[in-house]
Amino acid sequence: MKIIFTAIDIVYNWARSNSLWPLTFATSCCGIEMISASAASYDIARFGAEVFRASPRQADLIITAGTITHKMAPALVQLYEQMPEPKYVIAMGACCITGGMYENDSYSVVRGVDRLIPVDVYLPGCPPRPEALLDAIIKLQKKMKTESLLERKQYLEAHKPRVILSEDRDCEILLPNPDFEVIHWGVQTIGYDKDYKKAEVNCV
Amino acid sequence: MSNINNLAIDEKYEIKRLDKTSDNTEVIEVKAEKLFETATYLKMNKDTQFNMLISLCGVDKLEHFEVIYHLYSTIFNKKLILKVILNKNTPEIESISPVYSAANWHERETYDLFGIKFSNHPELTRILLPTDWKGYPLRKNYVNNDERLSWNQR
Repeated sequence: MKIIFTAIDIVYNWARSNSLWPLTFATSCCGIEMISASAASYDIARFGAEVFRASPRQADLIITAGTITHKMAPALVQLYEQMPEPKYVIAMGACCITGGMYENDSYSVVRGVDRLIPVDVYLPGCPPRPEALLDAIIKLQKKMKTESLLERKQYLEAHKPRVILSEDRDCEILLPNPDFEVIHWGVQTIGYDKDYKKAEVNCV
Repeated sequence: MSNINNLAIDEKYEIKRLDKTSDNTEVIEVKAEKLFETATYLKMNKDTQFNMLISLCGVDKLEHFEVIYHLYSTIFNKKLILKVILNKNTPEIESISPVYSAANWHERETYDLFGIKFSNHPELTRILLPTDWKGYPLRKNYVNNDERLSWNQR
């Protein structure tokens, strides 16, 4: 029985890895490189990933190209949840991986898209060249070819988004998911003066 | 009558001249109460005709806030910088969006990031940040301690 499943997986993975449909999701300059990769000179179509879909329901890969801010984060999580399984994520560029140059003391930038959704391939660069994006897609194809669908389902089950959308329509900020422990990578100390800690935040 | 960029302006607006910028642009300081009249005058007067608002921004100078208006006259090819000083505790100024419609979103952005209130603005809500954000991030004493954002601390 296992042999049959393995044989099916090989054919199935070969077919779907050579026909990736990415979602059009570009939030900053990495998007320009993504466009360049899909244009004639680099031609992402050679790897079967040229069909950039405008709807997440038709896509199985999201290339998060660019900086993700708190305002964009709910939209990204919603798009990710609307994609049919099996779904894959490429984090493109420094901002997507760690927050990039905004990582230190920005008030608005999400420090790594892996705090929102599970990432399969990290693609460093600021921004990465189109060849690098092609390399990331080849790496993703290799990953897809060596896994079974059952494993993928278990993986997605274990790596649910660590944040949740609020049911309150007036709340636009993503809330931490109570099922997951919030990891603190360090203490965020904004400002250059010791008096700043005493300052109160004024509510709107 | 005194001259601004070789154009005449009435003295009843109580303007105060500051140093010119490196590209020889006139900089003037206006009182907050007189701003709306002055802006209307500068736009409508035949001799000034500053018919375009290039930018509008806020500055936190620790002791006080400043709002800076960059005006441009497409007829005379002249620029003018208007500065208004506001107090630290209740920064409020009259909106000039009835005169310059470009000021509408600029004022919303200044409100969003500095918390400067623009009275008589048609829709003074946050424009860039989420609507339920707490605090004004570009103020010098801003510190982000919103518990809802704990997942994003570094």
